[in-house]
Amino acid sequence: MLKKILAVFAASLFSVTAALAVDYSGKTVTMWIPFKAGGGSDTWARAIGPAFSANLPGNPTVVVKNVTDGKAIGASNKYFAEHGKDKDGMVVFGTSGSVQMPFIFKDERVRYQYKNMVPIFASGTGGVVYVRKDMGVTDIIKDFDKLKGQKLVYGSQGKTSLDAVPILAFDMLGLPVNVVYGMKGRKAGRAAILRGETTIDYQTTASYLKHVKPLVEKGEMVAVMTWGAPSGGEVSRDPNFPDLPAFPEVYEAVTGNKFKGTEAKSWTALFYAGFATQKYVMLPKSAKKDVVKAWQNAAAAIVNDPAAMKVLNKKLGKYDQVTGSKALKSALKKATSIDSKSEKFLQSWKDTK
Amino acid sequence: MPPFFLYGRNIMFEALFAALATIVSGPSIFFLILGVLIGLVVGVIPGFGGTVGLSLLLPFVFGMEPVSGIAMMMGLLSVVATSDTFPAVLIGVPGSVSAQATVMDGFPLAKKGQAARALSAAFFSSLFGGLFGAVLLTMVIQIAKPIILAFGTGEMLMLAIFGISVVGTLTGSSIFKGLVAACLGMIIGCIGISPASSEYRLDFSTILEVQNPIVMYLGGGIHLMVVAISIFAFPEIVELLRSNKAVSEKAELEKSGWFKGLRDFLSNKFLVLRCSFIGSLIGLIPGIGGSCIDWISYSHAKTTVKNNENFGKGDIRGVIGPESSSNSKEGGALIPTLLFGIPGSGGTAILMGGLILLGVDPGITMVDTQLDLIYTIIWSLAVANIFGAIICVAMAKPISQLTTINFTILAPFLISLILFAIFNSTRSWGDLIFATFIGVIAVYMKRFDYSRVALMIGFVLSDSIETYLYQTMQFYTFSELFIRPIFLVLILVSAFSIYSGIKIINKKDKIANTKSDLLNAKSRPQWVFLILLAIISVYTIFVTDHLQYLGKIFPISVGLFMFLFCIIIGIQMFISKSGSKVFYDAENLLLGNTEIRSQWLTIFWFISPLFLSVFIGFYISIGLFVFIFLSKIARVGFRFSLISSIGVWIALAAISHFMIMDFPPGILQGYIELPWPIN
Repeated sequence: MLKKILAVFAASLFSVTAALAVDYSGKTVTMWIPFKAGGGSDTWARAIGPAFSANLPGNPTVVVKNVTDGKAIGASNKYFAEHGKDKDGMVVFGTSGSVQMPFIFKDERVRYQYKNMVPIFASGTGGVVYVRKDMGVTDIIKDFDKLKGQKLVYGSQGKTSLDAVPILAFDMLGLPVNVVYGMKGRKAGRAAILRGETTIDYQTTASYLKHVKPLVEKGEMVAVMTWGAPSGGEVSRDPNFPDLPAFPEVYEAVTGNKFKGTEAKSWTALFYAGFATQKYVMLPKSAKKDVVKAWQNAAAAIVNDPAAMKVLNKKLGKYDQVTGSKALKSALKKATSIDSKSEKFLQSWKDTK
Repeated sequence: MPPFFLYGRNIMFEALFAALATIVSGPSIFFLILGVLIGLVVGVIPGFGGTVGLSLLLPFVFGMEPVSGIAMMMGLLSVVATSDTFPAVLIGVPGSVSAQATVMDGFPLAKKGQAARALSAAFFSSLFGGLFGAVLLTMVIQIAKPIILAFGTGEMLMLAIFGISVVGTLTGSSIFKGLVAACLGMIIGCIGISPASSEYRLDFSTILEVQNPIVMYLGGGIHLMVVAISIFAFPEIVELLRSNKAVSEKAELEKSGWFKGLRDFLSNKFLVLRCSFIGSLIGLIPGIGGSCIDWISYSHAKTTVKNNENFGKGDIRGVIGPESSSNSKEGGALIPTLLFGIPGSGGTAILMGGLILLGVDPGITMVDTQLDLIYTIIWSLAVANIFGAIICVAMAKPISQLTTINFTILAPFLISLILFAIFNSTRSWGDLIFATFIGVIAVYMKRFDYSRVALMIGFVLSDSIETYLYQTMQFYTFSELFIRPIFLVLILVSAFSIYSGIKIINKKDKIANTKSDLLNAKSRPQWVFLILLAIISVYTIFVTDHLQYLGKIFPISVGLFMFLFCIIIGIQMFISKSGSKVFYDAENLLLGNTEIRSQWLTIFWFISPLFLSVFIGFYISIGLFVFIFLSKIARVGFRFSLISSIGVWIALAAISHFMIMDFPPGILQGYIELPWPIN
């Protein structure tokens, strides 16, 4: 009995000190965003910032700090150099696909390690591939040979950017796509297909719904496939577009092969890093346990915050926001770790053409 | 679809006036004025433009009522290009990117004691340009789609080439020196990731380890404001410091400056109209960017008016032209932003982020479903311009009194401001170091008459030319390209621009040859500088040679041309006698003048706060610098010096707080934990 009482007492004492330890009242918490103001990740951070403020203990002011020194890689390195050993969770890190991609492609400039991070919150998105109407294609699987015979041009930002996902997908399907680099972002790619200079393009879900869907309805463009969405360890049809086949499905139908092997694994890793769980809020691993707990609880509460969710859905499309320690860990692992075979494959694929 | 004026005309006008009513009644007007006031302040501070200003507003915009939020953002965006004229005219430093060309004639006018005249003429032109943009936006928003889509990469390439071709009309007396400068600008533009092959270029990674801070900094590319401020402001400030005088050469400023400015504006109404049109048109096309519009309209003003000999020495038309276009471009840039969700300028890119935060998503459907919001944006643009211009005109006269104060007293404040503005570009030590490097080169470029404008234009257009050249070759065959009418028209325009450039240079030749031999005397530093430039060109060729074909073809070509031009200048210097214009050296006129301070001493003053920062950090060093400079060099008394340096510290702390910004730390901060803001 005495033991029990002591245990309860100790536990309550512990929880009191824990509550005391994590109290941000009157403090200012910083979200370190390695991108400039006004861009996609910045808008995302500014949408979830107030929601974190409302749900963290003590309701701290949450500010977004745009660090652009040395671009995404440099600014991420800098976070690790300056805050990689923080314990108090006063400065959290916001990442996106453009931070994950150089990590996967083993860019020499990268000095950050995802295994030293604890994920708090993750948002995903999807992508839709569409072609110009004059390609004469309505169903990518049935009209595949027709599509193959067309002059296919894709406007890209670079092979080791998020565009690795479409370019590798085209390669795997055996589509003879002429990839033209030097596009400044997906917006420029969209402008090029509108002008008729390129003929095949993709946009992330939110951008597709806003800018391309009206054109599809008018009959100027045709949507052919999505990248898919994760469900139960597989990549299956995107719930936002149930009528469009996902890439793995298209791959199996037109090549006759199962969606397995090194190429498929590599593509899936890129897809997770660039789309499925693209944007993370993270703390360094050195953060105290109850700090992590406080942040993860706040993240779980955000999912129930309609105002923040409205902006997030608009920004990224309606996809699950990942919270909860277990789900996050496996998502982060999928997005940032890659087996050595796939890694070798991507290294040599990067240098072809 | 029938043209806009037949299509639902009544509905359109109704919506138009309903939107005006929403703007001027209720709380929106206060937010609009608030936006205007912030915009004016942001425009005045060098290094802060609409981009920085809007990103400051973003956290407040979230959760606001959409019309008020739009009014505030538009208020800010519309007036930045108006107030950025103040520093351009008064101290020769562009307040934001859109005032680069205003410096050319605005600053010489201030030296003549006509600052108020230049300012008010600029504000009226700006006002007109802004309203022109708003009217254009109203008229064409529903029919602009085919116009924008008609500008493919081929056309954008020709626009960029046209931009380069105006170098001829703007350069100094030697065309080859101008070309060398343009090449140098393009090489600086090549630093960072190559557009076609995504390789890192010119970042010293061939000799240093990739994670070295220098390599990391250069890998990100050079920010526009770093080059713009250092290339123009650095030499001017060094020169003013050396002469130890006020900006205005006359102690008494000219009377009735305000009214004279209005008269200048009215008597050049057609120039204003033409330049406003140029600004809106180029702003309309996403992909070229606003940074070269000012130069194009400045060159347009110079080539189309009579008696242009005084351009660059204080011709009011050189202020009116670029000011009309710099403000009219926002209206143009809003069209692709609202129509396609593809922003036409840096400012509109952030505006789009803000609109999304407000729950307004610009895009194709907006014209059909949310026309009222588009009209709200248009009216905000127009009303904000009127407010902005009124406030600026009222302030023109009192603020121009600054030009009568001895520059040595102003200098420490300006140097702090400029170093801060440069640092704000990407908030890296690298910004400060690179800017110093460019600044010192700029001092010598000015001395030996290498055109700094040419460097700026080369830098701004470098990326466009490389990207569009490669993409055009991929997208089009030769015969496809030469049946595109706009492409052909642009070729003609560029050819005409080159022709008028040659004409202007020939005229300058005659003038240059009548100048005294004293100015053009031979000197050794000229050779040293030329050899340095040649080394840069050779270096560029060698360190880019290992890259893929698509990554190296552009920098190597530019490097080869630059080397060739250096050789030509070298030959000219070798065979010409002393007194020939190739030996232009502004320093020669100052020989034996004991009142003038030494060049290197003033450069040292400029960079001394940076040396100090290495040890004690930027924040402490700046305040200390202001104090030491004022008390030891300007000799203004202990109390004033102390108050000034504390003032600078308070201002920096406020900025650090509101902009969530850390200043570069020094060695001291590496050893001791210090409290905010000196940490």
